[in-house]
Amino acid sequence: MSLRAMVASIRVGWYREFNWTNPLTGFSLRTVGPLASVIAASTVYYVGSTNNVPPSFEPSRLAYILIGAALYAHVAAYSWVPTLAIAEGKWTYVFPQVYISPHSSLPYLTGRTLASFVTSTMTVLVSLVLSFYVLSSVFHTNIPFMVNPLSVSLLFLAMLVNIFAALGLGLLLSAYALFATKFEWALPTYVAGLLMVFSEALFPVSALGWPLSAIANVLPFTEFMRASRQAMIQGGTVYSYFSYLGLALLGGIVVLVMGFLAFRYAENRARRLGVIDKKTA
Amino acid sequence: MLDQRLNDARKPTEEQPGLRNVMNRVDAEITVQVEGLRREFDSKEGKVVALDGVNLQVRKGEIFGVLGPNGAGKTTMIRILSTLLLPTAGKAGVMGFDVEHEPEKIRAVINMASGAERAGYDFISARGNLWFFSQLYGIPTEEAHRRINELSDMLGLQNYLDRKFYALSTGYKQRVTLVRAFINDPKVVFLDEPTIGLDVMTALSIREYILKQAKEHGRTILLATHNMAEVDAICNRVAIIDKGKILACDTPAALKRSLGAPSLVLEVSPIPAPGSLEPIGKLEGVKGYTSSVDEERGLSRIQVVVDGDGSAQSVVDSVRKSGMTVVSNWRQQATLEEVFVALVGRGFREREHEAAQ
Repeated sequence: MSLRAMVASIRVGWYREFNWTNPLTGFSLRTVGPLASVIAASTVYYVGSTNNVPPSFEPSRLAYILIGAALYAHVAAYSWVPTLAIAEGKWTYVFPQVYISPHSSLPYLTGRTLASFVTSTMTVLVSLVLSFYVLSSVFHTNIPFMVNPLSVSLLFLAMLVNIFAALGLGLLLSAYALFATKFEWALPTYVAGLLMVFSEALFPVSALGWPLSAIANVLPFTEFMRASRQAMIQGGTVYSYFSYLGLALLGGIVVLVMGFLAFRYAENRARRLGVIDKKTA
Repeated sequence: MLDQRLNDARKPTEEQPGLRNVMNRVDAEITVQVEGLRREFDSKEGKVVALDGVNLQVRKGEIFGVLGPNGAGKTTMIRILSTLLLPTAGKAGVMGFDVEHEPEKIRAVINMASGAERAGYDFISARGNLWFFSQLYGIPTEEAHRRINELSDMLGLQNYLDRKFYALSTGYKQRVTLVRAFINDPKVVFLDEPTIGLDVMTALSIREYILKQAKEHGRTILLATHNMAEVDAICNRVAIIDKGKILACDTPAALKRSLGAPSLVLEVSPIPAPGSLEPIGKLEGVKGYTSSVDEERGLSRIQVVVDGDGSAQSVVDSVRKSGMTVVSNWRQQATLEEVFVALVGRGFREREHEAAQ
């Protein structure tokens, strides 16, 4: 029963992710965002570092930023889908209907998240490849990427493992969205901003100083970024990759369990308050 | 024609003594049971009591109406029974399962539809939406499409199934909502104002559909509405609710019979000022009154529930004394609104006006 609900939700989520238009148009539009952020972040670094006296440009740093910006956009794109599905679902009254069908809320939110994961993975990989070629040719530099079947497979494995953490974060945020009447639309944006700082997306978390660096170090998203860089940037090792991946998995499971518990608590509280079917501002 | 079909569909429950006996048996299967149900909401003005010690029993296969003005507590009751909301106190159960502790068991046997909320994804076809909702109940795709076709046929929706949800008219969206409400073959269905805002013909076809679902499939249907004609047309029993309390519960015919004398209707001119009709309510033998304004004709219609001819005459005299001209007056068989007036002293409109204030 729940599996059917999840598969149906993936299908609905697929259309929703492409803004209800045809997949080609939707895919093109969805690629613009991550592509622009990857190129913008990389260009800022390139221009800043080459204008330093003496110039401090390092191709490996460019590769670091490129991977970080692309994968940050990936995580930010799909981890907030459960919140969106609830906030939007209250408006369309779809969510209350999902809620009163047996054992459907979590399969629904998971299905919507998985649909977004698939579309986001496709768009991020395309934007990663495109920005690699654009930046290589514009900056006339050799970005030290490892692009082979093994490195791409390892990157994909890291992205799969990160689903646990992203879904967990999504459930934590949606727990709030269940009974919130304010800010539930904007909350994921705030959290995404924090994630950019704390997940080693653009700079090492050691730059944050203690205790912020300690917090950032235990986040599964940070380990996911590190594992992905080990897979894609020259100089990475298989041992480091799997160490980071293991920590990402462990942290992801912890976040997922926290998200699940928070969601269950919020469901009960929202039912008590009578806000599961309440439209919000 | 449709009216005739509605009447025919109702006949067995009203006229066949055998079935009436079954419905009235003490041991008849209870599908919805509510005991001392109370629900409070917090508001800026303090606590608002939406339901205040409600008791109800609905039997298998029954179309049970909950009739009351806006704000009476009908929707709150449906939200509790459909597991969207928890009660503050009291008990509510569906098919023997408790709403507070066994919501998942209830969800497997119920469905719900609201006339005010038409659930669906705008950019997916009606069929796509219905298929999605069917999957939430684990119905195999082939079976889901069979049910979608069968239910859509009954509501004349078949030719509109491939249209995007947003492109459907209000009436057809509501038909989709009603197909969805029965897609999982539920034993109990909660309908909240299913015909609100719909044209007469659409409302009639929806009522016919609801009747068929109860009669042919033995489903229990709890219908919350403020439409008295709807209750009269399709409900086996009705509970009249006001300010969160059940005031009366019986068959529509029995409730109307309980008033005894036919009610008095007066058309008066000029339109009375606010409050000027209040003396009518204080006359001996008057159980209550309600009034409405006919702007086009420039007069006011007053319906008065009286206990006999003497009190009817004293109402006419009182109106004349207050300076109004009685354009016409007649006696008519009581309607459910007059039952409400007799119980509360005011009509639906006045009650809703009071609530808004």
